[in-house]
Amino acid sequence: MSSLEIVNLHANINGTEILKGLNLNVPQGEVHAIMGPNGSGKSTLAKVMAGHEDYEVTGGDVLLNGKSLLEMEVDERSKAGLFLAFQYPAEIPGVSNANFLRAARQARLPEGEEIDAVAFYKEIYDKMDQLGMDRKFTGRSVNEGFSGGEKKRNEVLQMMMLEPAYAVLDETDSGLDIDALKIVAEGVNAMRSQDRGFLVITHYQRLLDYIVPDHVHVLNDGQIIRSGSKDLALELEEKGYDWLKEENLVKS
Amino acid sequence: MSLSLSDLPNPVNEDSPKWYIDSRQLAWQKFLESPWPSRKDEDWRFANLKKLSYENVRDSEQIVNFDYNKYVSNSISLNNGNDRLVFNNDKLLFQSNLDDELLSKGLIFKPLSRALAEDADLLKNYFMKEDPKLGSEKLFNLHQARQREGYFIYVPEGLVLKSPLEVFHWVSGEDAVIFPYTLIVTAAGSSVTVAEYLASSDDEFGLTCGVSDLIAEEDSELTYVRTQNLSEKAHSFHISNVSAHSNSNIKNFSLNLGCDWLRQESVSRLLGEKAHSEMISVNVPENNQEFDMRTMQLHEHANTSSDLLYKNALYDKSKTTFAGMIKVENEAHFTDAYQTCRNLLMSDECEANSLPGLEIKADQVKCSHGSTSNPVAEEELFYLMSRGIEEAVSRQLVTFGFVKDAVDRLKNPQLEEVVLGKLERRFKKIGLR
Repeated sequence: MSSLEIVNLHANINGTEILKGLNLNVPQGEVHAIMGPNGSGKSTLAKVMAGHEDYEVTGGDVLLNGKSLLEMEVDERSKAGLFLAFQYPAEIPGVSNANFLRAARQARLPEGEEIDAVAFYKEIYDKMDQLGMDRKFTGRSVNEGFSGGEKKRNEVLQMMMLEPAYAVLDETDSGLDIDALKIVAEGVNAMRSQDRGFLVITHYQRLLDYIVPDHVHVLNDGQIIRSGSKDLALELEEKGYDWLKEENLVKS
Repeated sequence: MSLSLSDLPNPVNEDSPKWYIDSRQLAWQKFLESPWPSRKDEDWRFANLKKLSYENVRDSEQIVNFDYNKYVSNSISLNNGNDRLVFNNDKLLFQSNLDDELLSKGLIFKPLSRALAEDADLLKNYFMKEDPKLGSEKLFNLHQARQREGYFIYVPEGLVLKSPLEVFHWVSGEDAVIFPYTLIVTAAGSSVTVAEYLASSDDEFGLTCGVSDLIAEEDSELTYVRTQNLSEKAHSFHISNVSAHSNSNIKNFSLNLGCDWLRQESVSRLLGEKAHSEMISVNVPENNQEFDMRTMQLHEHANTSSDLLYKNALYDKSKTTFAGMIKVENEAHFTDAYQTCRNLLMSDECEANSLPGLEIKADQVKCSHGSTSNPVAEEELFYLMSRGIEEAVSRQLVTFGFVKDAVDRLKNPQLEEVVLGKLERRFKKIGLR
């Protein structure tokens, strides 16, 4: 049984506090969406979880299966079962997608054990077919010269190849047209299972038409200010974020 | 008996053409008269001149103790048995038999010593016509005066060679010195790819002082790949001169891995309408290695283009100097010239110097130059590590990708594999950092 708990998380960038005591629990098998206006801390949360060094955690914890992710190196977090689908994936010139994924898979094997190259290629081709990716993408440099949609598909491909316990999708819908969005969502939905949790970060409700969440949380000014069912997303779409911000102000 | 570089060179075969004997003697005079490079020379800025001291260097004709079979059997790089020449210390060890059909079409691929005997008139038309342009008269003259071997490739009109020709130069023995000369000529409408491998058979000090003249006549294509994997105590000096005539395409690629000190001067002359020259170099120094690289893209005719990409990945206290000049002469309108030098800094102590330059005398030209020096980008590292790849492995992946990007420009899978294989072994030796 795996679990992901974010407990009273505080984080800064360049001395400015962005996350101000964020609490969230994503039980195994569930899809949780985090929505929020620009600047609310959505991407910061994703990067802090993955361990980006520009962010300083000043309090709280992120626990994966009860173990603190914050104590781990970036690569250890991945091997522990966390996957971040980047909003802006990096381009790595000269490193082919296939070699990159092989290295990532190799990193998960015990020392001295080698990847079965034939099985690896069969697997990657199957998954690319599923995502409607041309096979030539195995030979192309990671994300280099990819369109926005191709980059996002490539993120989902990596997720499929690495089979994480928890996946955080950071604005995976940004830069996607509706067809690409559907394909990416299908890939994610195919990955949904009883033993995998998702945290879907998005600005717009649109993505949630295709990846239907079990719960929706609204992030504002570094804290979750409202949680609800998938209908909360629709309500937000209709009324805008200001509605909740104002309500929150009235409450406090 | 040892011979220092300031002793009179051994005479060459008396049967050699008179022009050849004379040219050596003239070069020897010039060598004696010209000064060693000094700090004041603009072309030697940032150079470590202390390295240019060769009191103990022996004439490698004296060093005969080598295992013939070992070199020949180690001299296979492409796996389909390409035609090849194998030299050790400027002595021919092996020559594959050229296909009769190619011979009958007029292909020449032979050691310089044989070409001097058999093809002297043709050779003379192309032999060492280019004066040094980047400050190394002294070493150039030394080369010419002491030169005794090398090879001559002449691809006759219209002949297109599909498989690369290969040449191996081994250097063996302590203080050995070689002066290999390369002359490749592609006649109108012909095409050839030549791979030349320089390597030491031991980890002793040695010196190679070589010159390569690459001449592409009209509508021809010439690709020259030179890999240098000498011992890390060795010194290497090399000049390559490209002459690209109209509608020709020359690719001059170099890979430098070995040597304590090296200087590489590469000049491309664009001499005819639509001539194109590509200059690519990949360099991976570590420890205290110093690589000094000077280039010139010399546009002498209208509507010509050149593209230069030098990539250096520097480890430890290694040092590189890149000085690149794009020169566009009066007549060379509509020149299209690019020059890029990228340095990847793999330690805090390495030193990468870049001196890009432009000198434009014509109108309506497109010239751009740029150089960058950076450590591995944090965003790239973070991305790779976020997939579970540990930091040192991620760093190596990025570095390998950095150099591979330049190797990809060869656009020849067979050769790319050979070059990448050398780089893989290099990075394995350097280890995870």
